[in-house]
Amino acid sequence: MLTIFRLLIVRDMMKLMLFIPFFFTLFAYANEPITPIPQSIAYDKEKALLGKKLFFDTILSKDKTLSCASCHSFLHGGADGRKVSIGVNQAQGVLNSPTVFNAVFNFSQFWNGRAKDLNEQALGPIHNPIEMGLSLEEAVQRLQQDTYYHQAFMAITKKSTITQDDLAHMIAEFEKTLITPNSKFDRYLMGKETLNEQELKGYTLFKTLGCITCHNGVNIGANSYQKMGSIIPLERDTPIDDRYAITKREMDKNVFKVPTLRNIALTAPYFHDGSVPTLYEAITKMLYHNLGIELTNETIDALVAFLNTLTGDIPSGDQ
Amino acid sequence: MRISQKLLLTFILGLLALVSLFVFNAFSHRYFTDRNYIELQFKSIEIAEKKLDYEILHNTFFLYVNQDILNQQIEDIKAMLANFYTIHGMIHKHQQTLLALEEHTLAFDKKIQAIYDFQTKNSVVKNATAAIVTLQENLFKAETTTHPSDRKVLAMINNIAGTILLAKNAQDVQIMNTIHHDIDTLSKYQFENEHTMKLARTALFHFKVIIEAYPQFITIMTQINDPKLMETLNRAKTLFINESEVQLQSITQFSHLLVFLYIISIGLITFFLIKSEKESRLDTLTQLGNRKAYEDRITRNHKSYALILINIKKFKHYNDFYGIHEGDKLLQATAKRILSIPFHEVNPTFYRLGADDFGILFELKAKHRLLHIAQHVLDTFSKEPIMIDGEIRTPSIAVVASSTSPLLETADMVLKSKQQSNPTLYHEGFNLREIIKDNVTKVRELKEALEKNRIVPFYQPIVSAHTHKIQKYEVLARIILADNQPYTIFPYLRIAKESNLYGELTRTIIQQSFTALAHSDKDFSVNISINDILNQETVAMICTMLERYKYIGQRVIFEILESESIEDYDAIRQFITKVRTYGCRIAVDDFGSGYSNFAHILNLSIDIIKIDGSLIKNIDTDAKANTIVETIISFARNASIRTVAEYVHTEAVKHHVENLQVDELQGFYFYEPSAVPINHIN
Repeated sequence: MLTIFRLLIVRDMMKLMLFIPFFFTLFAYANEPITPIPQSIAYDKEKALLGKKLFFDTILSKDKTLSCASCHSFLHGGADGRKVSIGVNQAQGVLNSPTVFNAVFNFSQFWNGRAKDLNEQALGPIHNPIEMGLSLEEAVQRLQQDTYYHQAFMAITKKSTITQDDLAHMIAEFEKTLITPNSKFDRYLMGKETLNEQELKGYTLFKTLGCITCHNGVNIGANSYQKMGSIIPLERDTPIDDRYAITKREMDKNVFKVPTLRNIALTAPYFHDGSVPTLYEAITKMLYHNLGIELTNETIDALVAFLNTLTGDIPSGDQ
Repeated sequence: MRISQKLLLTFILGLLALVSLFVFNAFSHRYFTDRNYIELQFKSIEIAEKKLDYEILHNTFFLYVNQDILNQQIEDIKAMLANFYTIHGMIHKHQQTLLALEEHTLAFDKKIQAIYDFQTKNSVVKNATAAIVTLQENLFKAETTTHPSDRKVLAMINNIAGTILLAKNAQDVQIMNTIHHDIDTLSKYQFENEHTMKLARTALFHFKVIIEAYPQFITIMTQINDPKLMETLNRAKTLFINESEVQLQSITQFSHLLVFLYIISIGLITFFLIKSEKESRLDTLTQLGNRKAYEDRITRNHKSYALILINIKKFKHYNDFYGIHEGDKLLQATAKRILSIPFHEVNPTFYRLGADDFGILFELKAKHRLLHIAQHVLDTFSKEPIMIDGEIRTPSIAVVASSTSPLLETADMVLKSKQQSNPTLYHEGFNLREIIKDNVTKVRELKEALEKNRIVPFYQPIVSAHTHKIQKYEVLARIILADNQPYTIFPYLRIAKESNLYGELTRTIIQQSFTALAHSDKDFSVNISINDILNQETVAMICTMLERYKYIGQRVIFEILESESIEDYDAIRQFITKVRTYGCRIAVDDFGSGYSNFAHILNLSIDIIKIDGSLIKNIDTDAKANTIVETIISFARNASIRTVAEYVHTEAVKHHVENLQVDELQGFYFYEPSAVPINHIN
């Protein structure tokens, strides 16, 4: 009796499932899961200007060879063109530099989200021994002794001493300004431009294949933690700064903050370890490991075409 | 308590009430504003958390989801929770609420972690489930085999897919467990077709992922829907309401205090009002009712009252003698005595009605008993003496009683009438009111006459007893009233003295008569009283007139009224000396009627004696009068003083006084007074 009942339900459910894409299409037109980047966001100009100078100043690295911009290059979409960045004394880590552009929209910072916002994030790389390698005490002291910085900070904070918070605050304020509006896709969303057939096909595939499940929102990602290889697992041989590093739960191994797809065409190489040099390969790998599917070249090309529409106005790195 | 202190107290109370009202207003306003705001915050959080749950559900069922919305909602709720610490009064007044909120925040932090996990697992389950449909489709398209075992396994894949969908929608892990066996079978099965094999492998991956992830997903959903979250929020809310209720109690208590204060101040004002009303009706010295209290009682009730008025005789003298302080003591003792009278009448009340007047007001039931009652009052003073400072100082008491309205006035009339008996009752015979009325009229008439020069001199000739020729005139004052008729001034003289018009009266007569007779050759006499002699203005005026008309002094005779008691003879002597320098003569008027004293006459060296009319009037029949007049004339002749007989009104009288050898005669038998001096010989 129960078996018959169950079978009946199963059959009905199957039928119903066939209609689901249709429902979703209707819904998607009304409310796209991706939203355009705003033209501007509110920030403090004075602070941002000071932050900009700090961002590009090598004074914050131990041997005064590196600045924030060294690994968040404006020529490489706010990221590093290298697989992994090279810190002071030629030190190398295992993670690929994430882009600083649109970082303000990330729901948390760093690959594993250990900083809740830009303020918390800004100081991290300065005192990381394999990055800029400068203790924060020394960083503040250097700025304090520098006539220009001392005066510039005082003008803003009205205090005679510079604190670590002040430093983070200025850099974060500058980073807020690093947004990239007016990408072709954003303009399409706003009804100001049309996508070509291939790009449109790519966007449709992006949604129907399930990419959209993790890559959505204003930053097309960076709003949830997901596992690399959620369907077909990836090896995790060496310890890495994933969610596991924070939570120590088995289920959090290989779990990272989903990276943004904004300006993705500019930020090769890809993935947390910078292991893939091209978009084509990155898409293939993602489809296989995280969606459990293998697709034709033609399909992947369409997806690449779509991703290429995500490049917006890049902020000028002029000082 | 002084009036300023009372005012201050009332003012302070009023101010206090006002300030309290203001504070109460501000306090309660703040209380309700804060409370409403905070309750709104609780509501907002509740709604936000419900919305969050909805968004999670949305994420579960829909493929296209913007997870920014979910994250934003989380941030909003975190901000709302943090905001509680910044709300006014939270930290001071709602410690418990904050502690409960902290618990809620911790529970919410757990939920956030669960939501992050949910995002991770949900993506996998969602994508894998969605992929299954596509995979199935591809499998059916690719596989054309008729191999029975292949078909069986394909059917198995179908079954697995269906069960997974069912389990997912039912959120039932048990159902998911039923396909473990099929999965095992599938994982060992080899399809002949390589492409089919590959698709089957992929499907197997997805199945395995779902089967592995789904129990975790359910666990996470349980964590997300942990009822503890709402419980902690509700607990915080309940605690907040409880704490607010306690605060509300203090507000209520404060409002009670305010009402209490209000009642107190009203009561105090009422107390002061009653007290001052009472005091205004109380004589502070004797603690008896005062005049106002008496008037109140008289006017409030229209009963048949009687008043006994008790007067301390010659209290002024007592005061002068012992001093005001001792006088007060006497008044107090008298009041005490009056209060101690065993008084059996109906509703008696006791008053001090004047400086030395006390009153007993009562309802009189039997009029004939009034005298008896008055006697009873008077007797209490004689029975036992009043002792002050160890001395007997019982005052002389006059008691009068009246039951005729207006009581106080009628009783007072009796007192002023110099009554002979004690006690005295008022009766219509006193008719004092008429006298008072008459006095008032006379004063008015006199004043008016003086203002309008209607006080005029009349002249009555005085004739020689031998020749019956006019020797001189007596100047007599007449008042011309509204009917333009002259009337004798005599009834106005007492009034003139009492109302200080006497001097003016004399001066106008002197001024007019001197002017009228300035160019006559006859002598004339003017009446002058001791009052005039003591009045410097009058004396100065007389001198002026004597200076003005030269030699007139030799024709002027001043008739000094002998009937008045003269105390200051020096003043008279001075006056006489002064006017004699002008040649004036002096006569004594009405001699023989009053205080006539022969020694004084000699001392003052009088020129003329005018024998009082009362002695002359009946001299022809009255032997006693005859003897007195004979003696006066004899005395006058010996002292070389001339005599004048007044009131010669009949032939008989004329004849009689001529025989007694009076020098001059005056009276209606010869001439009546006239407005102009009569100048012919009869």
